[in-house]
Amino acid sequence: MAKTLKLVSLGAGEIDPISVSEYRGIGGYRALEKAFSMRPKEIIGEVLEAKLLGRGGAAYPAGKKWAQLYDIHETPKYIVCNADEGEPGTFKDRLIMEKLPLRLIEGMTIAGLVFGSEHGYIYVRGEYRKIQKVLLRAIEAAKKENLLGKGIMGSSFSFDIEIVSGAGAYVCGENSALLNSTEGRVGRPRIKPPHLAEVGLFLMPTLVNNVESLASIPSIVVMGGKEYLSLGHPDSGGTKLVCLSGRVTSPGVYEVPLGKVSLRDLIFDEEFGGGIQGEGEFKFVHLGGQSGAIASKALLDTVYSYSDLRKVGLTVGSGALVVMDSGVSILEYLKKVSEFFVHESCGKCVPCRQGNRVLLKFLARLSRGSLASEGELLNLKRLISAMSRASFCGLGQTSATALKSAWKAFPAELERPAAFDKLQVGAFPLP
Amino acid sequence: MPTVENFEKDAFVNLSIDGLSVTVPKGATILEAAKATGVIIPTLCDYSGLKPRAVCRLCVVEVDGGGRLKAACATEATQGAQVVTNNRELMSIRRNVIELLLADHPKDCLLCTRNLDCELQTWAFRLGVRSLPFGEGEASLKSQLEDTNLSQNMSKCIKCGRCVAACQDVQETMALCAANRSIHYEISSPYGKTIAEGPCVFCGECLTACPVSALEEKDGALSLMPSLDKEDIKTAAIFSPQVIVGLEDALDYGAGGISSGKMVSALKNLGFDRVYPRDFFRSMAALLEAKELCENLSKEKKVACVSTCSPYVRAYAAKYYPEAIPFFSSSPNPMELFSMNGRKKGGIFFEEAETVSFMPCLAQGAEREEAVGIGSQHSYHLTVRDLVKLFKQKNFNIGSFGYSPFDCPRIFSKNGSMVKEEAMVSEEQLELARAICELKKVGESGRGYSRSVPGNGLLEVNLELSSGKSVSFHLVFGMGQAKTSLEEIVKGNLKADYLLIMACPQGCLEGGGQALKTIHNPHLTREVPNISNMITKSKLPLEKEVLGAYGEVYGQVMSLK
Ligand SMILES: Cc1cc2nc3c(=O)[nH]c(=O)nc-3n(C[C@H](O)[C@H](O)[C@H](O)COP(=O)(O)O)c2cc1C
Ligand code: SF4
Ligand code: SF4
Ligand code: SF4
Ligand code: FES
Repeated sequence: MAKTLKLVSLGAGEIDPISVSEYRGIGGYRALEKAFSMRPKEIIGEVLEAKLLGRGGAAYPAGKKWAQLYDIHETPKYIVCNADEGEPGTFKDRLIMEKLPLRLIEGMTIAGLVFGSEHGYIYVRGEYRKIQKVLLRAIEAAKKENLLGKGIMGSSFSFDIEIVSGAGAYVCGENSALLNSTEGRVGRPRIKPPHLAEVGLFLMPTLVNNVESLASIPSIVVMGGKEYLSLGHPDSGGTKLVCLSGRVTSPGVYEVPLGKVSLRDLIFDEEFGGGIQGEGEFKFVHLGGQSGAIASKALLDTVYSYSDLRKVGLTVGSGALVVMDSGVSILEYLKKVSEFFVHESCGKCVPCRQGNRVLLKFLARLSRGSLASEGELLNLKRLISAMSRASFCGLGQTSATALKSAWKAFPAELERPAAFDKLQVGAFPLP
Repeated sequence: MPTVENFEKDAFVNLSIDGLSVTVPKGATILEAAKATGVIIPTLCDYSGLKPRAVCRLCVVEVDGGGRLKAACATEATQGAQVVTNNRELMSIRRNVIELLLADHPKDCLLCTRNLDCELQTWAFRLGVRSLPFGEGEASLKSQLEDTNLSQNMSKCIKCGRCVAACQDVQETMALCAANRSIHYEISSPYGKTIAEGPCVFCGECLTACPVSALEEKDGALSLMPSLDKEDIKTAAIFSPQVIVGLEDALDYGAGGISSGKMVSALKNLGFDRVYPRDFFRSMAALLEAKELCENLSKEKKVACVSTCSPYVRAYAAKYYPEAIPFFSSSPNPMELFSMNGRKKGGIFFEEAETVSFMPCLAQGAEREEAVGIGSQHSYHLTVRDLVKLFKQKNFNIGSFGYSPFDCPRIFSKNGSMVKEEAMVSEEQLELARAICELKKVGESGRGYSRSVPGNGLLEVNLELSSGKSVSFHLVFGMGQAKTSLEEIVKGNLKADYLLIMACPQGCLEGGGQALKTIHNPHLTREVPNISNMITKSKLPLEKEVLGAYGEVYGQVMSLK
């Protein structure tokens, strides 16, 4: 029996992405039609019941976020879609925007309807130039069919969507930095609270949701929250797009119901990763992006759901699964991760700006074969904990997660690197 | 802030800080609540009067048990919150923050100008940092700010952002920004321009906010020392009253611990040949400005006169509001009067002298470097910090000095013979001069308002002259308000005859050249602005003498211009 279940990715590659009629042919815009017959509170109720957890990485319950914004009465409210997709190893939002942009637009329009908002923004990763064009054409197509713009579907509701291009900073995926960047300010995170629901874009109440979260809304509206929940895990309904990359035989984006497959399934099942490429053996998988934790063989039977993963110190995160084989040195891998964070830290807070550099220096020294003393290792542990506990934003808080988990999984390789110097150095592709 | 008068029950919250119960106004931060209980939470990026930025992370605390740590400086105190400021984890994190900063910081504390007066050093010591686990690298930061009168050593910067917030949020000058990311994150002037090309007015707000020695003016004390020691060079000094306040603070004499008479003795002991009363030059300058104001009032100009404490404000206006420049006063300020005359033999002094004015002002000193306005190569404008250094080097105990009188400028010592010149000053001119002097006094002594409150920088006064004519005065504090007023001038909307712009938001008392300890000293007694004095026509300081000297000096000043 097929383990995959298509909701958000249903029809991907099968229809013309900017054809409204073809999108309607696979059930498109039934949700918006239905939404017009519902009260906003009902729609929020369905999202709450669906237990849709934010698909951007932080897994914040979307229904809760919507309910909070609904209770705020200032206007105008803005709907912002986070399409920065900056997590390395993550390429699932791109699938939606490239192949099914109208589903995202429909989801955003429903959000606009719920909050009485007239303006939406999609903040798209700068590197996705071509996709930005697809989105623009899809917006045009929707406007022609009266599904965007003034008086949508003959109602009095008007909603418009603008595309904003990012400029290549990972931290701009953090929602408050994203809003700063959208406003034309420097893309560094803001102090929270005030929460973005209260003081968001242009200081007005704002909803920020990930592409996949927003594109999941139509299914929830059509089938109802209860059914959506039943398709997934009791704690987190529905499906998740998973991005498989690294040393698997069949890398790509797969949609799976939450709580119904294991990590092992995802990596080894013919329907998904199809096992390790070539001669090597599985060594570890890095989940959720660079900010996520690393799992060794011992955790392969963990069920892929938010709560099951959390129990063993892993996260769904963005949905990335970067698989590495036995030829890869964990130290070299961590060095790459660390280089990424040293490059991407916005630099304003001490633990992240300074801490990441110290981590990288330390890893570089280890990888040259230097033995670390007890005291050094202790200092490093203290530092990792300070970074994750005291950094200003999620970037710094999670930048040592991979190291922390790898230390647990491969202590010998980190603490006595000299014994492992036969391992390939840097010979793995980072997505 | 709620007060006893507008007390409402829900205007306050009660919480516990390390087990101590405390009630604070709603909206207060955890840091403020902790202060109220006497609990000290270490901070580096927090600074009085600036919006919190929460970037140093030194102040993190635990609220209601586990969960995310919160930055006390940026987290609102909420009803019933249980705050722990001080457990093992927090101590470890704080030490870590300092260790991380030190990994990049020069270790030459012994030679540093902020040695024993540095916030980084203080916390490193108090938190028990005794080793450097994260290497001993050194930032080789060299910024555009360096070697201007703003910074001498940017490698000391800990990137707390206090300077940027002072410049952007308080002064709204936007001369500083935080540029780049990650380890390249640095304080800079925008768009890669030099500080001189940008909008900086050398107010020194950024500099007094700096917790370390990254932002610091050139050492004026050092450059002055040789002149003081040489027999053949005569030196003359003036100082403004706010200097004494700063010294009392910085040298721990307490309020009232240093009188003018002791100051004169101390300066003479430093090696000054003459110490003149600044009031003389201040009154003289007011008289000159009043003359200009009188003339312009009679021409029915929309804005008769714009005066400012700082040559850089004028330069700023020339750059960004050139249409306002014709309204600027062309009269010299007291320091200019002093130095212009001091350099000339046969001027108001007995002999040719190098003139030194001590003020809580950075702009006047920067002028020496950059030659904006009048170039005064043989005169020094030094800050209170310079004077503190001089006194500390000499190990003076000012308290033990006797009282010395001010020296008298040559002209008014002739007294009687000059009084007939009084006729040169009209009644209206004298009235206006008194008002201007009073207004400047208010400007110097600050206003006791809280800063960074928009629209809080303007004081409006009307004066009914004995001729029945009504003159309106605007006193502007800080560059944010200055921008607004200059804009109004340009648009032709300003409703004032005389506009005085103080570049520093709290006046000279907390000016950019003040002793660091004095800035935001909550115990500072401020003179309450007594604008009604302007109406009662309190006399000019040294009025009789100044009027006497006016004729001769007036002629001289104008010939020097
Ligand atoms: C450093 C950092 C980078 C992030 N990058 C992204 C991103 O590229 N895309 C995204 O959707 N969320 C990203 N997030 C998460 C967002 O801050 C936010 O939680 C999300 O957009 C909320 O939408 P959701 O609840 O629908 O997931 C990032 C967070 C951090 C701290
Ligand atoms: S943790 Fe700090 S330095 Fe890192 S990105 Fe966030 S705010 Fe910037
Ligand atoms: S001196 Fe004043 S204007 Fe110049 S950078 Fe500092 S705060 Fe800004
Ligand atoms: S120059 Fe001073 S005030 Fe500015 S960021 Fe550096 S340490 Fe902080
Ligand atoms: S003082 Fe609170 S984070 Fe710096």
